[in-house]
Amino acid sequence: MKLFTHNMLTSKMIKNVKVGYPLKLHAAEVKVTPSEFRSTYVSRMLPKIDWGVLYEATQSIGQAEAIPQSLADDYEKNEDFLRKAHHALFEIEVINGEMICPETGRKFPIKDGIPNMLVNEDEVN
Amino acid sequence: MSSSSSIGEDGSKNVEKKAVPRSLGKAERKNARKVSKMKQVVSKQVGVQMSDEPCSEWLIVWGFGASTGTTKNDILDYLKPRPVAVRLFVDQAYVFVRCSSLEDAALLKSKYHGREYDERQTLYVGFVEKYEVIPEEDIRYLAPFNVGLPEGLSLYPEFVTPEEEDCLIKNLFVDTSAVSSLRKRTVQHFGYEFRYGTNDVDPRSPLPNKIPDYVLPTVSKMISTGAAPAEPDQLTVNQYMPGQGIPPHCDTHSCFEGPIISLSLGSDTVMDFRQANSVSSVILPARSLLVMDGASRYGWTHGITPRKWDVVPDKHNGGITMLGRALRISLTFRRLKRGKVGCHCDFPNLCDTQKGKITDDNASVLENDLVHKVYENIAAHFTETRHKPWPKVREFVENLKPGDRMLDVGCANGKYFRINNDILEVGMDMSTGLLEKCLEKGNEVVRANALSLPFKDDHFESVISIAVLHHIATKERRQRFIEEIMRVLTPGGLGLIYVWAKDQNLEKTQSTWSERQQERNFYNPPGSCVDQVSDYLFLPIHDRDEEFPQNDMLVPWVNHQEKQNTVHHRYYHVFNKGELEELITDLEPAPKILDSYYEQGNWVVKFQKQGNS
Repeated sequence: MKLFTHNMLTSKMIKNVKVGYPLKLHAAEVKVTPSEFRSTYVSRMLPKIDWGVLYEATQSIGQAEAIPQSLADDYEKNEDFLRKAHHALFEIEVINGEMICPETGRKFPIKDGIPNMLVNEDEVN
Repeated sequence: MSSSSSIGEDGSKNVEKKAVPRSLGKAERKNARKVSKMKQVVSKQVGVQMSDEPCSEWLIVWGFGASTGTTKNDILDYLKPRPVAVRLFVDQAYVFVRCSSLEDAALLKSKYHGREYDERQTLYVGFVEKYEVIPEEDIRYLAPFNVGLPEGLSLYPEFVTPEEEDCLIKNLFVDTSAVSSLRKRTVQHFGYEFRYGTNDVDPRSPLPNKIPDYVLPTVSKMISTGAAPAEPDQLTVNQYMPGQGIPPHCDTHSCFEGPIISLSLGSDTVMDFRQANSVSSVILPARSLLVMDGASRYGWTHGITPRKWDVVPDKHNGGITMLGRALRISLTFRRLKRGKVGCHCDFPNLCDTQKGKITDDNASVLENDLVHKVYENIAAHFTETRHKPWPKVREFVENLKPGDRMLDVGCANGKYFRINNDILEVGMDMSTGLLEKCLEKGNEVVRANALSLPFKDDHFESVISIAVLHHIATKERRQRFIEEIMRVLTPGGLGLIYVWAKDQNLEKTQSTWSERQQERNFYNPPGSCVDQVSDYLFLPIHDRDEEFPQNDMLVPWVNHQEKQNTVHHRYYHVFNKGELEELITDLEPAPKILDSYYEQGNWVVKFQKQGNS
């Protein structure tokens, strides 16, 4: 699971969970796979990313140096920043680990790169 | 034929290809590959190790066997010196033979290995190590013949004389006005038309053709012998070519009186009766009359597996033998129920009056059993057959704007990913096996249920869901499926949904789905097995040659990768015209329908969530 995916996942489907976002992320195994950097692609995506959540995610999985805490104002023209964002969003991958619902503590395992967000029918609204 | 019972061309893809030395000639390399494959298969299936050196009197001969139609006598007569024993396996294309000495075994191997039998089948011979694991008797594979007849079933052998048989055969199918053209077999109805799929008749629409005069002597005999309690008023005549059959079904309870009576002409065949986990196979000899009453009428399904011969117990020599099929004509006599409607039998699973229904309570279990588990089981085979994107889906994805985020609900192996490099894609599915295939290709996937999408609100500029919603078992759940898609779409975001249409042949050209089915339309090899659907007997199994008779059906998937060509049944709710559109426009606020069309057996709706993007 790449961090851009973590950025969009919630546990809101669980009964009585109000926001369910962001999910706490724990990683037992992280892999970094280089991928093609395209500055316009990254800069188009950035307004759609919750930067604070992405930053917290890098911190929680031992990638503390990956990106700065706040989104650069000039990111569109800042290639160095865009490269870091690209790395955090598309190259860092949690292979094994888990995500935790911030409200109920319900755990969602990540196994072999696939997050399992299945919930039982009796857990949902 | 199952991949395991044949060492056909499919074997050439296997890894052992590498192990074959390049110095050999082409034919020798092919032989070596086949032998290598054969070793793997028998080791896996029977636990027999093969050797290149003579080590016992036992040989394995590949190319003979129950699934190739050779009988024990064929084999014993062909091989010289004559072996002393043969072991056949019901669904396999190999046999074990025991020779009288090591020398004979070596002689047979050198003589027949690589030799062609009957100008169609190359034989491959190997020595058997560890022959102790070869079963004592091949008869143990005939369990369905030895369980006894289902309660209420009677069989009258030689019910008509050969002369009467000839007379009936000559007269039937002469009047072509009564003949229906089923692609699978020729059918003629008298009295009322029997509707396959729903397995009933419309009592308000009697046919002009009543049961014909030349059949009446047989009818009288049925009544005078007590086989039939009352005169039938409906007759269906089926003509089966070798290799044809009829899916398991139960004649609709509320529609006909018991018993259902069937006369076999022209050829022997084997009929399989099924109830929960039990199968009872019954040989129906030519000229015999079968009377299904009691449990056999109401509590068991009956069907004929499409194949060219049946493997049956050999009454004379013991073990098994092959019963070849020829042109068979069956006359099924029924009597319509009069007055009171309904049925109060003890078999609610198969009873249309009392039968199980899909409800909110059992829908998720049903989806789990008949959709999720099935896709998990067939993931490897399924993904092999799914590569080519539907052109209009491709076009939809190509036209998404740079920077758009797209979610594929039920992405399977991800065939709609990587069409447009400027968008961000995420797939979700229930099947881990399919998600692994998708992930292998470098796509981003999440395991989740479409009814509880684990994504933020207003997030994706587009959502596609291709051939997924028809696996959801109730209308409420299908509504929820659409609501979830609508929730995660951004305002102004685009959705594209494909579902199977009940009507598969609206366009003049056949749908690719039905074409695909026809490609697979070879007979099921003996020993094909059916997966567990005993809890869902109320769902009819779709016959691939016929229209969908109702919306909720089971559709078979024959897994040719598996040992026994297992048939898996997937649940489908096939959609009526306008049904998908209605599900979408019923939402509040209703999305805007941008396009709504029929494409190759699918209903398709393209829509836009309200609001400004």
